[in-house]
Amino acid sequence: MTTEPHADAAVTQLAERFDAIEHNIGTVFEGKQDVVRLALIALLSEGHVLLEDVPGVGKTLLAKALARSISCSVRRIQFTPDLLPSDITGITVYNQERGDFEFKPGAVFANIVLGDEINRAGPKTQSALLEAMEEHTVTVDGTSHGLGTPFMVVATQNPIELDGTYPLPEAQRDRFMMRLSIGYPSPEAELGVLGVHGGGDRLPALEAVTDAREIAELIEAVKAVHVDESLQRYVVELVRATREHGEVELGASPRASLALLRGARALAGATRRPYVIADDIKALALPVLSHRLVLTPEAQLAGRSSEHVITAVLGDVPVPSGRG
Amino acid sequence: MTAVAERPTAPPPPGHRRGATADGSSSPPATGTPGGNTDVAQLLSVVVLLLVALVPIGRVFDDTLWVRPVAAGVLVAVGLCWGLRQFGAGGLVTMAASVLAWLGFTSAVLAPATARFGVVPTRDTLEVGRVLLTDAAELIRAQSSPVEPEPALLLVAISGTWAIATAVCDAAFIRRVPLAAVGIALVGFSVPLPLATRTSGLALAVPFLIAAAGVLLAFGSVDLRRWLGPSSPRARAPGRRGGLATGAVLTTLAVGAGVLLADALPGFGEPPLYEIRGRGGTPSTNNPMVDLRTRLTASDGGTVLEVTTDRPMYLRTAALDTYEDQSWTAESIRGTPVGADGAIAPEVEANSTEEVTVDVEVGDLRGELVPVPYPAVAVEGPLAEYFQHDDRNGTVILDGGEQIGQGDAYTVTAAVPDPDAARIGASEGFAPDSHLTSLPDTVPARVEDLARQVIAEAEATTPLQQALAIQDELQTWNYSLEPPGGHGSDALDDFLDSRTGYCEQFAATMALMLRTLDIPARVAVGYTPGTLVDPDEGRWQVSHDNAHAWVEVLFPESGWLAFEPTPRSDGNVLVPSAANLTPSDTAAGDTDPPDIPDLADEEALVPGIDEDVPFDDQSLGEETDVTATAAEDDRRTWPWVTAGLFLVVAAGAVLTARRTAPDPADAVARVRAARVRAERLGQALGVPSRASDTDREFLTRLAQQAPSGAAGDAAHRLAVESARARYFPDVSADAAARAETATATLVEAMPPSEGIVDRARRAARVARARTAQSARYTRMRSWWGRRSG
Repeated sequence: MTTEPHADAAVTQLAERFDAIEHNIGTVFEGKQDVVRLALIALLSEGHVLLEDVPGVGKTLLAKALARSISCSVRRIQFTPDLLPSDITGITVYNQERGDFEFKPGAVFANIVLGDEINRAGPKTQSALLEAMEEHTVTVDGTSHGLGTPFMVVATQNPIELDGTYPLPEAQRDRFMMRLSIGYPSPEAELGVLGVHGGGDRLPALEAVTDAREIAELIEAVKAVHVDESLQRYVVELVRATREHGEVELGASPRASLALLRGARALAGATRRPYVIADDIKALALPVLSHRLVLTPEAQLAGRSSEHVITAVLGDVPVPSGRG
Repeated sequence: MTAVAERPTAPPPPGHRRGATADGSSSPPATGTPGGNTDVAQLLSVVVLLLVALVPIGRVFDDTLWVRPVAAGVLVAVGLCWGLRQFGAGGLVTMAASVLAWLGFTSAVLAPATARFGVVPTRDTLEVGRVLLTDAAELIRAQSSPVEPEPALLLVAISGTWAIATAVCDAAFIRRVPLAAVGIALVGFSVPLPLATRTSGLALAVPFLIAAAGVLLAFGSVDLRRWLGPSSPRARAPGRRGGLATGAVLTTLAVGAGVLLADALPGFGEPPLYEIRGRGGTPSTNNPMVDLRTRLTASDGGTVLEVTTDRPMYLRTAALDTYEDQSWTAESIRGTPVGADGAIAPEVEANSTEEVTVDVEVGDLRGELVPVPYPAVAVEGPLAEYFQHDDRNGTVILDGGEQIGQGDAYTVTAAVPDPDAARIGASEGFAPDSHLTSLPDTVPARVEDLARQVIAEAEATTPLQQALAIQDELQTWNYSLEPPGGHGSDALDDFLDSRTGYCEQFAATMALMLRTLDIPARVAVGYTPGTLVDPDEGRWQVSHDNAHAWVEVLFPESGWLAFEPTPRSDGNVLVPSAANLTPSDTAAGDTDPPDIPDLADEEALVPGIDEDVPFDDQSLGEETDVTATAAEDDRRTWPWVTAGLFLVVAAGAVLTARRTAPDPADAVARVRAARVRAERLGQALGVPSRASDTDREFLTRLAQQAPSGAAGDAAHRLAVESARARYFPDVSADAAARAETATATLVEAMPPSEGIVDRARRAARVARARTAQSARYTRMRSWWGRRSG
């Protein structure tokens, strides 16, 4: 990793903390460095992550390791068909002692919320997460309750086992900054997993390397990363290109542009660069955009995927030449 | 799906190949031609380019003997350069090897007897080379194209094309600048263009030239979109169209333009820019002055004509009756067939004539213009059916592309005017066609002043007296085949100043002076009577040295009469005087020019080659433009047009260079220039930068062309600096220096492109594997057969 000679102190600190967390998670979650990095980028750009993969590849482990590395509050919600929206948001109960209504916060009141198998709950319950994810507030019985910083929802879902599931509504999907797949580990990494896990679960031993306050600082540092105007236009062009693509029925939203730009800032900061380059945007385009596209039925029948479309779009839209 | 997010600044993982970009892009490899194919295409296009560029050399030589040595030389040079590049040789090594190979090749082709083993040059070979080069210098001065491919000229042609081939290869293979290669080949193509008159085949060659250039550029993968300016995100470029497609479009356009516009190019279908004078074959031309000029100063005394006549005659090939741009010219000659019995209607009906019959046998002479005594009234011979006569100037030519040549014979009857001198002398002149006395305004006033001064001194009043006075005056001037002074427009002034020259200047000046006096006059060109070799039979031998120009003046009732202003040093002239208007003898003695003492000698009346003028000096006499070709009129404009175009292009190039050259103080510009250099390198290597490429993507692909890791590091460093210069408004001079160093490292790290050697090795491996496989299969079958049997 190159040290930029002009990287300012904030960016340097950002990158150092980033590396520290990444390394920490890497001790229990091996061989998937890029997924860890993306998850961290989502955290620093105040986004939420949808982990979509088959069972047993470590989705929950990743979420837990991330939460443990940061000394902050973590709540885990196991989504089931009988889960109620109030289980997530919280409920107002009457406190007889005080003779008043009292708000009992739900599971969403934490810095990191791990929503396991989110597609197993009904749409109503799923949408209970909506406001929280976007507004960082929860409104119960007309009263808004703010959520802390950082606030990150890490939801998992299994794309294979679809019986008795409720696919995420488009609006909800759009609220996730990234969709990540972990994928099976390489044979070496899997051997390592056996060795490590055979010797006992190391997750409880994972120590926090930072805390919520510092993460909040890092989030502010990310916002200070410079983005050239031409790159902002590039992001808009990319997103617009997905909408105009012939195989796409529903393209990426303006929220996607925002997410892409924020993520690029975080990625640039993580590489000790106080400025974004086109590579940052290209690197994040797939995880940030792919889950937001709805392909036409013809394209789906032809076996095309949104990844194909995004790859084609990346190959088509010219990279801006910047100021010169 | 596997989420992918590489560290943008991380060097590329090993094993990444072109076409698969780091972001998992599956876009089709627009320029995915493997390096080897690109190489061979580049080699082939260089060969085609060079071979096509040789076509104009055909205009210089009059047969095709030159083709094999010159083409072989080019192929050897290209092959050597390419082969050395395969082994990674650099520019200096290649150049040195090329020089050695050139020595060997020219030794083997031109002087194998002197070379050791026929190839290794010895001291003798070098001496031969020196002599050849000296010869070549003389031949180039003395001969007009097309010429015979003599060894000396072949040496020049081989060396020149060899040098051009080497330079093209250097540009294409080593420096990897296809555009420069094309430019150099174009120079080679255009050098012979101004030398000669023939144009056939060239228009055909041009499309090939342009096509080869297009292929070269295409495989250099010039991306037009980059040429058209920095890509903007708004410009939705068709991303899948890479360099190859652009190259194909470029090639198509170029071929189309070549086919449509070739004839519009300067130099095509135009007369030559300049004629290299001398003997060396007669160009097929309707321009009599070209014919004349190649003979006026001949390179040897070989016999041109053998003439049998009972009285010496000037043999005239053409008359020049128009004075333009400081030169006498003739309009194109339009003959009408002679009558059935060879009869020719005379140009002017003279009152009194004397018929003279002349038998002519053609020697070392080729051409459409037939030397005949003037005015011919009948011409007969085996060529009779081709004879044509131009009534406007009494010229006899051959029709239908026929030329007189060695061994041809014809008999001409001339009705030589036998005018009454007293009667002509008394005539006060008449009003002839105005074009016979017209002169452009550019004629210096001093010509008329001189004419009036001469006739005043001679108290000449009638046209005859005036013509004789001017003739006699000019006869007192000095004869020299090497007149002082310059050429071109000043030649007339120089001649009037120095009063020294030879027949061209004398005849041209006298005709001019006469016309300023409104006396109809023109310049005739042809041969003096020559040498009387057999007095009994009246056989005269006319050699190239006898090429001559004189003056004809029109008189009423008598027609055109010849006057002789030239005090030829060989005295071989027929000078009319007042008493003898029909010169019947070589009458140099009549005037006795004091400057030429040997003319007093009787022998000089029938001279051979003048001993006083060294042979070489005669043959290489300085050229003058007092009389020039008709082509000169046409050729005045296009050199200027070409020069103007060149100037515009040069100015454009300078401006572009100034605009693109980075200001040393502007670090961003320096970084950008470094990146552009890398892009050019990529184009040359077939790894063009696509519009949708980021710096890192492009440079990573580029670095994969190099075998060493140094290229990867350099590409990485350059990508960092380049992206920073693009997107972050703070670039230091150090960063610019880092980018420049990185580019330099990249350029150095690039390998000789993988080519035929590697492919041959791979093919051999595959072949071995297949053989082994089939052997196994055979063994298995036989085993199976034994088993089942």
